[in-house]
Amino acid sequence: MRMTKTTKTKPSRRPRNALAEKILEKMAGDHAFYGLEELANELNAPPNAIRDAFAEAIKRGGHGSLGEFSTVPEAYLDDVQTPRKQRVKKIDIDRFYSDTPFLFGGTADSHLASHFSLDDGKTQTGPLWDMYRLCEREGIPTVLHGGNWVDGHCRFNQFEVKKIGVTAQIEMFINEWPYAKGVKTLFIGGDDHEGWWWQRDGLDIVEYAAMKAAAGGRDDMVFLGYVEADIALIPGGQMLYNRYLASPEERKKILGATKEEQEAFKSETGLVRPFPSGIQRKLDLSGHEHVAILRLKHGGGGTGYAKSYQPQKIINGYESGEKPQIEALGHYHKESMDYLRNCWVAQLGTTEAQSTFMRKRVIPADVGYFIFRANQASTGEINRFQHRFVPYMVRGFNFDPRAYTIRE
Amino acid sequence: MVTAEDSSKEQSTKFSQKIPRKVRKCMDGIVDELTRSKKGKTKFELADDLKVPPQMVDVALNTLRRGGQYLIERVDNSRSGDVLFKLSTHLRPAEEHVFGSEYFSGGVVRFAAISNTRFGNKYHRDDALHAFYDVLGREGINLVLHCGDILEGVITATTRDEVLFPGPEFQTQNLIKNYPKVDGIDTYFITAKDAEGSFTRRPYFLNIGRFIEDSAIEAGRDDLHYLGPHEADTRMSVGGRDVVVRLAHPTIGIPYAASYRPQKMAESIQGGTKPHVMLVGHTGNIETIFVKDIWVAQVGGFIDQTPSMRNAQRGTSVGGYIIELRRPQEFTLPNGTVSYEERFQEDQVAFIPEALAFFNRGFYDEKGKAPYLKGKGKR
Repeated sequence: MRMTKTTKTKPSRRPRNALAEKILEKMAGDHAFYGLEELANELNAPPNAIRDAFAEAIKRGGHGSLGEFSTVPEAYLDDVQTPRKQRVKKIDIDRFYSDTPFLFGGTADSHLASHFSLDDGKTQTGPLWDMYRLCEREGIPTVLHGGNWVDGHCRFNQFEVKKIGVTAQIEMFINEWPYAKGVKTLFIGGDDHEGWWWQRDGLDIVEYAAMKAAAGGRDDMVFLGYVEADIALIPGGQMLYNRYLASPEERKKILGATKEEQEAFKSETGLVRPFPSGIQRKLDLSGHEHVAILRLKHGGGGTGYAKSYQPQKIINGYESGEKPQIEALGHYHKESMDYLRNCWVAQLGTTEAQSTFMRKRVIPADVGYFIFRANQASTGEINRFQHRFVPYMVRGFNFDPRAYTIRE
Repeated sequence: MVTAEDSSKEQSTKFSQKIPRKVRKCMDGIVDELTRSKKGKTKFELADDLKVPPQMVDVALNTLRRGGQYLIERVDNSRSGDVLFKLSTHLRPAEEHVFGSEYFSGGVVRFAAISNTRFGNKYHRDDALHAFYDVLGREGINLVLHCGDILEGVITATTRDEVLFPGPEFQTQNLIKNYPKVDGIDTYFITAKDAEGSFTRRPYFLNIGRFIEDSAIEAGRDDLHYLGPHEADTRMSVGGRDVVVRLAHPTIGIPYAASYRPQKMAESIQGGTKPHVMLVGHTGNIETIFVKDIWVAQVGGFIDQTPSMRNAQRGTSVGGYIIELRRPQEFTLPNGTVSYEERFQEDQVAFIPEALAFFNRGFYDEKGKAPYLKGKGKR
């Protein structure tokens, strides 16, 4: 420990304080307000020394006040800032308004010919009939159908169908499918139910149904494909799609093709004309810079507890660049509307009550149909999607397995 | 229609604006003292600490309770007979709120539903939120229901690099300065247990919803209204029939299947207490389903995916809903047999949702381009 000698000294004058003197000199000027940081930097002293010296200077007759504001080092300026009104980058909301929105209905899993189908073509009642009347009333020109128009028949449903055989069921479908003025229906075929005839018997059921529809004069029933079909939505309200079977005019053109035209077609495509489906299968999108794809699809596999599980797996299963902008799904007898990975995915519900098959497998049926309104920006994207589901309560509709009939 | 709750809120706010300076100082002192004391303090202890008469502590405590920003509860010590006051994290549940015809011009019940704005987070989508409100303004919609996560909340280890402003004051000021303000549009919000709800806990003990509303009023904004914490029922008249719209913010893990959580929520509600419509925040999904006779909508959010979300393998969609409610339409056909919603339950309501979705910021930077769309193929 260092020892210091204590000596008695006379009380002296105030010690010389160089800092205080320097500050006092500054105070001679006009400035009455002094920044602590500024002074400390200028006089090369720590803030506390400046505070003491400033107080001393005031005592010695100086005038002024000391500001404590300290600046933030440049590297830290962006870390925390006092909230202030920020400039917001404007998104042009005109892109959310189109003069020609797409209006369409959506339904699936009608299972006509099943006892559990809720529609009756003879009395023209049921959810489907209601839907078509609604479309007519509200000027909705198109209905999409996600497959399973009829119940088909196989070992386990043979006592639950009203008609046996492909012709009987398809004719019932064509004859009893609702008709509304100005409403066109775009169908795809499922790979189950009506698709059983394809899988089991090798019958192209979609083409068969299309031929029957043409023969029955049902121009409003348009068949797009088996299991899946893409529809291109073009800004301006145009829908582009391929028909599964040529329309009567197209067929006339194909059949009337000259030999040279037929040869040219064969060399281009490797196909002989007229071939069964008659027309090209590839969507020709050339000439359309902005396009959104609506994919009408009949799913597969069982349904999950969570309604959105299968649609999520389907969307996640698409390769990059393969995702549509809208996907309309049939098969699961579910209704839901999800926005998944920038894709609007609708499960279209059903118009068949919960069947014995579903009841045994504890699968609920979401009975009803959708009415959609999609807004497409001029750049093609679907940025606004109205989806109205009209649900039906089907209480008291029970199938009695003993009598194979409907219980009153 | 102004409810009793509304008027009491109004009174409390006016009351708080007239607080004398001395009382305000005492209130701040009480909050500071109670923040430091885990067990709580008696009135006399508070008076001694603050060097004020007990009467002043009475006034300050009463003012704090009526203002409702800080959560202070009374704890009776049964052995000593002392009455202690301590800061609490307990929020009283929301009361039902009635929306009258002033919000629904022409009798058309239309409103917007949003969630997860997360003000204070770097990834908040101010551009999309402002565009959404602009659309609402153009559509003449006056009411927005916000399902929670209005602020980012306390910084955590995983969100440290995402949060712009650390405390409730800064985040609230940021919200007030930057939340879209469109003439005629009122926003009613609930608060979450997570995000802004973290300001309810130590060391803040704030009733953050009330704090936001009061701060907004002080700053001259009367369009932000607090409904309550976590869940609030609202009632609106649709075609002469009362319809209950529930705002919910479930703070619970988000499963893979987007619809799983709302399905479980709907199924768990006791019979007879189900709302007609349930708007669900927190999840960041855009979805509507009809389950157990309840229209359930997950109302999206206005925040891009953050690094912490990516780390937790959580996605999010940017957007919100415009919802119209109607009585099921009935009409009789010439043969007198069918109305297209005739099988609909009598007490049900027709639900017409329209979702607006936004892409990432980059999409709107490239003017007139939609590079991800099929048919472009140039990116």
